[in-house]
Amino acid sequence: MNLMTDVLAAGVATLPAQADVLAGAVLRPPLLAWDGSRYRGAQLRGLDADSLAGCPGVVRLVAERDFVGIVAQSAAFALGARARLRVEWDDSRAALRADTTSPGNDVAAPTGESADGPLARTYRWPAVARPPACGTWAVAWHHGDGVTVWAACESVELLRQELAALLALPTARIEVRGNGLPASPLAFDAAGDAALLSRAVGQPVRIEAHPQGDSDEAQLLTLEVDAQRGPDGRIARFELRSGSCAAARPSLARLLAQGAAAPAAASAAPASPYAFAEQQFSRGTMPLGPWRTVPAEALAADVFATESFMDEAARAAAADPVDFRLAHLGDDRGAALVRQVRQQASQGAGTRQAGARRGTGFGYASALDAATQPPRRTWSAWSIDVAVDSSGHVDIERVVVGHDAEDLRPMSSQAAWIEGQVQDATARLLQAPSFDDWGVAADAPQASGAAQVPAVEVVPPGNALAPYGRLAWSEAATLPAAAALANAVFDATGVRLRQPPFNSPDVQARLADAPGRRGRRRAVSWWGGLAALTAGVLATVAPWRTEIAPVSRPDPGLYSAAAIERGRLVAAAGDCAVCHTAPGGATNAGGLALETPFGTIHSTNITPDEKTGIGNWSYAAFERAMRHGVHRDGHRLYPAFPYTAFAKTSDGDLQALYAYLMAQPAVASQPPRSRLAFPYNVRGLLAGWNLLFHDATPYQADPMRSAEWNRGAYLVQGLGHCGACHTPRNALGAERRGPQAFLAGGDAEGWEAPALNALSKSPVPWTQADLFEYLRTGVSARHGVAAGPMAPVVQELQQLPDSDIRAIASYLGSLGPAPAGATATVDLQSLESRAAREVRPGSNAARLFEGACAACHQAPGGPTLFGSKVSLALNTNLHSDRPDNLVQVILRGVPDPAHPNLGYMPGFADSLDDRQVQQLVHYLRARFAGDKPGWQDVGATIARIRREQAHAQQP
Amino acid sequence: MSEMTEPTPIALDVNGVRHEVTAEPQTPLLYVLRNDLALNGPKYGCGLGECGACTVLIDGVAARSCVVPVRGAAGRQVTTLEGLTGPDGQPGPVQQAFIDAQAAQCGYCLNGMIMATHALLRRNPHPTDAQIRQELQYNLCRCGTHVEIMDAIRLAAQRSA
Repeated sequence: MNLMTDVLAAGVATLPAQADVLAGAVLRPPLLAWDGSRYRGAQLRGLDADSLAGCPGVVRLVAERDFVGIVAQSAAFALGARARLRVEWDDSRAALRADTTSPGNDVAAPTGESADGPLARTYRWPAVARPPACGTWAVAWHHGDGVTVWAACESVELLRQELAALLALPTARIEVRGNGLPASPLAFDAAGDAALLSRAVGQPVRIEAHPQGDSDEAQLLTLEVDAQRGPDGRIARFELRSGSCAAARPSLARLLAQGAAAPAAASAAPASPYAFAEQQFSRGTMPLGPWRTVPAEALAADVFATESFMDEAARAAAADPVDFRLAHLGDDRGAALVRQVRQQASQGAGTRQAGARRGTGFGYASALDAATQPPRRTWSAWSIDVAVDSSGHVDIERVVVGHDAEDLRPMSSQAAWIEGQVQDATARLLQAPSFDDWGVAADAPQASGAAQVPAVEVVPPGNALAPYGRLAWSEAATLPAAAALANAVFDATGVRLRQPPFNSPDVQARLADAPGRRGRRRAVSWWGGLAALTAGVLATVAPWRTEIAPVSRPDPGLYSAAAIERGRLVAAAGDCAVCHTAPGGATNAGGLALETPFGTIHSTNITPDEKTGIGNWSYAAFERAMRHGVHRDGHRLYPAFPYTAFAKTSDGDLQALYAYLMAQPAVASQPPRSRLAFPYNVRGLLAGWNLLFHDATPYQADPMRSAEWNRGAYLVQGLGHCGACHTPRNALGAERRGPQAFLAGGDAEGWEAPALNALSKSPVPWTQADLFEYLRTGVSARHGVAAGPMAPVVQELQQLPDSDIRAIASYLGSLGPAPAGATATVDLQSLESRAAREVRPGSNAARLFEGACAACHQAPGGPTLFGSKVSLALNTNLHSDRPDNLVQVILRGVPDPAHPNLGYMPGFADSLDDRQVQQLVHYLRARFAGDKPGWQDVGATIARIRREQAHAQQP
Repeated sequence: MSEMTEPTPIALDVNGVRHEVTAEPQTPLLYVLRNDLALNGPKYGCGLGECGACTVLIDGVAARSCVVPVRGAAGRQVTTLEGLTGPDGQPGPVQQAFIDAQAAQCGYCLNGMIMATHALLRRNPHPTDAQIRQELQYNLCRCGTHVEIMDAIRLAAQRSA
């Protein structure tokens, strides 16, 4: 506290010391929405402050209208309290129900639709871009003189204005400083939350923000177009109802705490650039995501709907889409640009690709560019030529873009730069997020025969109305891109895409099936498939076992920094260093002893040392080892090395991993040889094992699932090799097959690796948010901490971005038992009061617990001590069928936690005897998992684990 | 476990002073504080985090320094009993309250009692008796000074603004 006054006197220059900063956590309503000026989501009906009684580390519960937050001594205490807080929300008056059903991208155009009369269409636009890959944090300190915020915000000025409105302070008293992180879209809300919480306690408060939220439910803006057409097919009345509000939303803290908030900027844009006899335009209520969307998104959505609709209406009237637009345009300067682009597009043609369906699409926009002062009018027109191949892959062959603006300011070095902008804009609409995308710019060109970069032609506006005749650019220039592309795809295939992006696997599948408007579908090449299948069988039956010639160590300079960085992430996801590093030894130099039912296996040296490591392995040898479990010299590797999982890895990732490993320092170290008992020491027998149990097919994406889910499945099944521990093994040590067995619970170094699928014994179902929290921080406030062999896994995962952790959580979350409804929250209190009834005070076991455990594990109640404190009533291990993990943790403690914030637990192997441990184990089971039967043979388990421990400690 | 490695120096921030100590990373923080830094406020009691005599603050939260390894305190702010005294060397407010209430018998537990109280009052300047008991119930006192200790804590709370 003295420290704080010192800092204050010094003019609040530096971030307050860690010990003086409290941690905040906010609890959001289940449904968030606003209509452009008022909060329209679920409302706080009731808050049970008593549910936090005895909750450690809590400083203050803050509730203002619908804003609920907790300030605590550390982030772990804040999250623990949040999990425990009983809150009731009322969404009966919410203006909006969560509606994520998609209108779909229709396969066929509606048939038999008349050319006149009413025409109605619905379009969707994803309001949320791909979530940011990483989290951020913000600290706010509401002190006597105003508020100081440390946050990585995109616009400091915007944040200052926002905080001034939130706290009812003059802007001059708001100071915003950077926090050393790159700007994040999450920082705006985090700063608002921190400021509101800090005002309540008068001390600095820190908010950690992660890109949480299920991006599978990407928020979609709904746009409904209703039109009335005259007998000539011309549109007489046009109505666009947009589900967006075209204004940058205030911070969630302000919306929730104050309810009403004037929009930051006036609603943009008139309805459409066309001179319809009658037009109407309305904006609605939109759902709120965890990060802000910008008004430009709403405008882009309007243009997409209008321009797609114009194309549909033109085709219904059997008119040329460009003529149809010109017939409705009352604006000469825009019409001139449209004609110019059409003329340019009709000349020449892009490269031709055999066997593909082709089409041309047009899009036009005229909007006020609010980025300039005063706003200026811009016009842009796009013509796109596409080719769609038989697999449904869309290639943009040519783009003609015309752009014009009032007060056009020509730019230097334009042409190439503008082409780049156009290519970016189109690529964004088509670039499929791949399951092996690590967010690192890869140097290897994508494996695809088709031309990736379209020819771009930019038309300079050169007519009397726009006399400059020079190239220029503004953000608004890309507005028609999405509609032009959708219209081109329709022209080529007859499939109307009403919702970008156009890259999802299911869109591709539909495009592949569509007959096309001009071309004919190619016969399915099924002979090719059969031949490949035969080759695959042959390869399995007659596998290699020859030596691959040694090479000299590849020069690390051969690989780009990007490839090596990608390889580093691949290695982290694969946990290479966890097994290939001996305790206290050099990273990846091998020598860790792995106890298996078949004997002790020592991990090998995978540093690029030519004698003792893999320095003389060619890439071919490396790939064979990773995919088929064969050493460079031809001998077979034991499947303790999870090549059965690594085989799922993509080629690009394996190449990057090879580059990374070869670029690491070489360490000369010969680990001990693995000695297994007969017959397991006959490595040749593994050929048969592989034949029976190994499937070397790389991961295949499931087109019915989201990109995020596929990314998660790829990481879990492949590099993450989660099944190596979490899937039960058969008598020959192979992971059992089948959806029931996958991740159904297995063993890891004497610990139980609990089931991750529907067989989970957890007292509370694991949600996607729980899994994210657990894998990211090593603790879930509703389940407990990662310990034992899982701790180093979480440590390694620290290197992966939030987006990958979210993908893993998304995939694993889909395997678990279906949640019992979105509103089902855990009643921790009832779980714990049930636990409390089981206490038999005065018994030996109760005294043991009170003396040895309760200081840190008493819940509810007990002191606030450094480290996490999750109620034992929630701990999966106490609810399991086996006492192994409980015995392990009592005897060994948690000497090396998954995250340094979790705290440490001493082992009691030397202070409690077998009888005491046994009493304690039975007591804990009865007290915290009273609905489960008592464990059998606990004494034998204790003896076994003590034996294994003694064995492991021998040099 | 890692007897083969050369211990690397660990940077510690104790009572606002930076120290570099050379120790096995798994060494209990308590040993380093007492043996290397000569900060003898924290006491060795049970060695298993059960009695509280070794309590220090880590980033403002009470921690049992006998079960936190020294590497767990790296990069964090550690406060010991010595860190509660004012710049003039006078006892801090909680210490003074314990002196005024004559809350010591043998005094071995008092480091933990004072540190836990300090942490509690930082978070909650005016705790109820029940809150005080919850916070200190696992700080063991074997002389039976509990009544005086409660008096001392109430006095400290009364004096805090």
